[in-house]
Amino acid sequence: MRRIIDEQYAIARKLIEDNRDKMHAMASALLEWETIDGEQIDDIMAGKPPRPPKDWTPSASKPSGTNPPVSTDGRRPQWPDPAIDACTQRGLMAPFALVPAVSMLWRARVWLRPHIAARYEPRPSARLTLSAHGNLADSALHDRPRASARDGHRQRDAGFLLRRRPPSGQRRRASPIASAWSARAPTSSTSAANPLGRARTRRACRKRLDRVMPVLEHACKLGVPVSADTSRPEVMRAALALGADIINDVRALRMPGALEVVAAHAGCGVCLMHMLGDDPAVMQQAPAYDDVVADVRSFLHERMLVIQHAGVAKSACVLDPGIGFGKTPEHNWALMQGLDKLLTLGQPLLIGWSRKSMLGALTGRAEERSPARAAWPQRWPACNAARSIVRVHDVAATVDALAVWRRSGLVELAAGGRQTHAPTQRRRWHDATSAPTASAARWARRRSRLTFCCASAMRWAACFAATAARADGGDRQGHAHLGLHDRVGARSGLSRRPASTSLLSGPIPTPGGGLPDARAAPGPRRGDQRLAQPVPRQRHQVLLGRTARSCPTTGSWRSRRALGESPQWVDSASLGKARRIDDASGRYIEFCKSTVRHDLSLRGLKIVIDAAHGAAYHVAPDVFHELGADVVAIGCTPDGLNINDGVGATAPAALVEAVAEHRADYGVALDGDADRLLMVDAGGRVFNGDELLYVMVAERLAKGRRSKARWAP
Amino acid sequence: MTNMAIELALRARDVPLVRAKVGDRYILEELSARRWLLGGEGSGHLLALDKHTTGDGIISSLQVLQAICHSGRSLAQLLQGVSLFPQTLINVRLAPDVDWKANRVLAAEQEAVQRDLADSGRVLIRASGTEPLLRVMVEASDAELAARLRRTGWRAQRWPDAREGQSVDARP
Repeated sequence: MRRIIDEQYAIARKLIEDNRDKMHAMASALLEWETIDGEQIDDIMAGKPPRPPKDWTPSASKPSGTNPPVSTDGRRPQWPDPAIDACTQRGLMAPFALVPAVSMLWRARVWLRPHIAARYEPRPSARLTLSAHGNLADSALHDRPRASARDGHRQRDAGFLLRRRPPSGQRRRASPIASAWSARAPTSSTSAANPLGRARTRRACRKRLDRVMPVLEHACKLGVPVSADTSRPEVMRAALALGADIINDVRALRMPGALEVVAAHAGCGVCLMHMLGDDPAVMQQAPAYDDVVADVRSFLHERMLVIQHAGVAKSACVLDPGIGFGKTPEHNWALMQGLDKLLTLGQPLLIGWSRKSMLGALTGRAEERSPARAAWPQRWPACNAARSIVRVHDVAATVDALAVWRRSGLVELAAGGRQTHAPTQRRRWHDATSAPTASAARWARRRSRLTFCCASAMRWAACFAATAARADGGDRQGHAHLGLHDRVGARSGLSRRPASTSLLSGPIPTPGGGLPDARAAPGPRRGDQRLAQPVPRQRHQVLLGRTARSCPTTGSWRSRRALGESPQWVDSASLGKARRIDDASGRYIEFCKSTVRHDLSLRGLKIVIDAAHGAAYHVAPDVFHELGADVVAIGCTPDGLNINDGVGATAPAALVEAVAEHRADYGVALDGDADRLLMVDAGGRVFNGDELLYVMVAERLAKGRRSKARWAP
Repeated sequence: MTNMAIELALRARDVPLVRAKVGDRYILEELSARRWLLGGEGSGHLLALDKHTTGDGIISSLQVLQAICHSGRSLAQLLQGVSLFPQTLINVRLAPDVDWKANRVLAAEQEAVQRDLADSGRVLIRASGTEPLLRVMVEASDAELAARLRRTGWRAQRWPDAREGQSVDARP
């Protein structure tokens, strides 16, 4: 065996040493072309320098000695691409969105039902907001908006949007802002370090503001919502100060400072657009995506989360896939076909693609730059998508087309609808959250709306309040205890805020959720010295709709305010940490027993417990049983809907009846969340909270423990 | 809205009492501000802050049962001498934008009734937090007096801005 190995090794070594030069030639050829074919190998083996591959074209950028970054698979275009270059020469690819244009958006509420309504229940939230935009020549500055507004107003369901632009002959040319931008772009010859470039930028910006602001001012007087299209924070600030309602940003608030301007302006609407890169001057140079719809969706999702984290309400947000912004016509068509996937983000979309060059390319009449008519059929899927906003240039024609569609049954449009489903729900939230005495949980129960979303929102609100309490209290730790509802098993929402969380196992009474940890800890309890000492108040705990600590109303107000907002999300690094407390109900039973003297025995007493089909249904009977009482339990079979239904402290008649029936000594009635108490004696007399309070006071007086008792919280 | 009988009984035993706004969170606030221990309201929210940090029905009931067991007397015996004043609750439905606090007729009426009642009862008016309702509560030591007040003196119709709502006897 050893002999065979040695012989073969010697042969291999000799082969390599003899052909060392050929091996090096092959290596360098591979480095140069990545692949070598049979003919090249033949060349090398013959000792000649290898020929280049057949499809090899030496690049113009050869002088540097490096190979051009071009592969031969045909997927990536060569650079410079003659077609793109020509486009740039014609100004077609110049930064369209850089022009901080003034747009006016007269929104009308149009109800739209997809024509597949026969198979699908039409969503009442489906809404189409139609607007339009048109060029605004300087001469027509004051007449066009009014005319368009009249036009739209007569039609009731159309609007218009003005985009201030130079006349079409020099479209996208000589835009001071655009040149300022290219001056600031890092790839530009005029670098940001060049003071001349910066000065020019400032001058250009001021000049642009001077030109745009009068138009904006005029637009704001028309009494319609005005949208300012800009990426620059200073323009945004000026526009919002003038009264603009919506900021439409092709950079999706990615410019430094833009996010802060919008977040500081409460109630301002935002339109976030997807654009490849952040420089419109180069966005059309070889745009490439793995999956354009998925890429755009994840980009918009991320931007949405970012601005929500900054404090902008989700409801103020509209998303724009950015048709034509760093996209080939194929990408645009793919986006239009994938609108459904974008709509899964849950936000309205704004789609503006009338007069895009891709339409002209499709119809073969590029010179007309997409005749308006061509925009209609392709707007159809966009209209079909729920809650979309479609931006068009030709208002009247679009309205006419929609009227025809409606009449012909292609699409059902009900003009004049004022309320949609979603806003109604939001308003109810606000109603509930502003009511001074209704707790959130009670509200949800009353409305029979204890849905997943509602539970999530409540958990988030509780967590929000805990976090806010931590911020107020300096070094106090925000902490939330989360119990379990029989019907809502999901616990997401709580740990999505940076507050620590304890997950309590099993349903326990609501007051148990506020247990201080030191008391809930296992260990010897009855007669334990710890219990006589006040528990240090280091943790601020929040029950649903209530804090159990020092600033109850503040905390509750915070919870309610948070309920009215959309839950915000944090990145994974700042997620709260959750700790699981097993056997929470066992601990709670022990805690309850620890609050009475250790020699207390209820032996010999027959007690009827009425837990109101509520939170204490399996804890309360156990407490009294373990203290020795003979327990009869009623109202302990919750089915998720029967809470407080004819039983409990709010309906003591059931308890009176049960006490009489079982010849019990006393009856104890709790309410659904087990924080209220009524008692009944053997004679059927009901004792309300006032009387029971008096008994508690009298007992302490009798024991003379008034001075000994310590104030715990 | 703690019954006046409790207030009188506690006063007789030299226990200070403070009335908070209706709602257990306001009771908790008052207790926290004064560092007191016991609080509660008629609906059954009872707070014993040396035992727990919030109102808890189970713990409150254990406190009461402990009092019963240790005293060897029944609940009714423990409450001997304390009989609640009869309360009458009238709900008056409001027009949504009515400012009832500014109504002089109402204020004068309330003052007159309170004068009639003197120390033997009281009149409470508060707006419901959840509905456009005005809750009027009359409480008097003498059931006959309260009934008479209800019949003759206290009529919601006398308040021109509202029509009489449903009348509820909280504790006949």
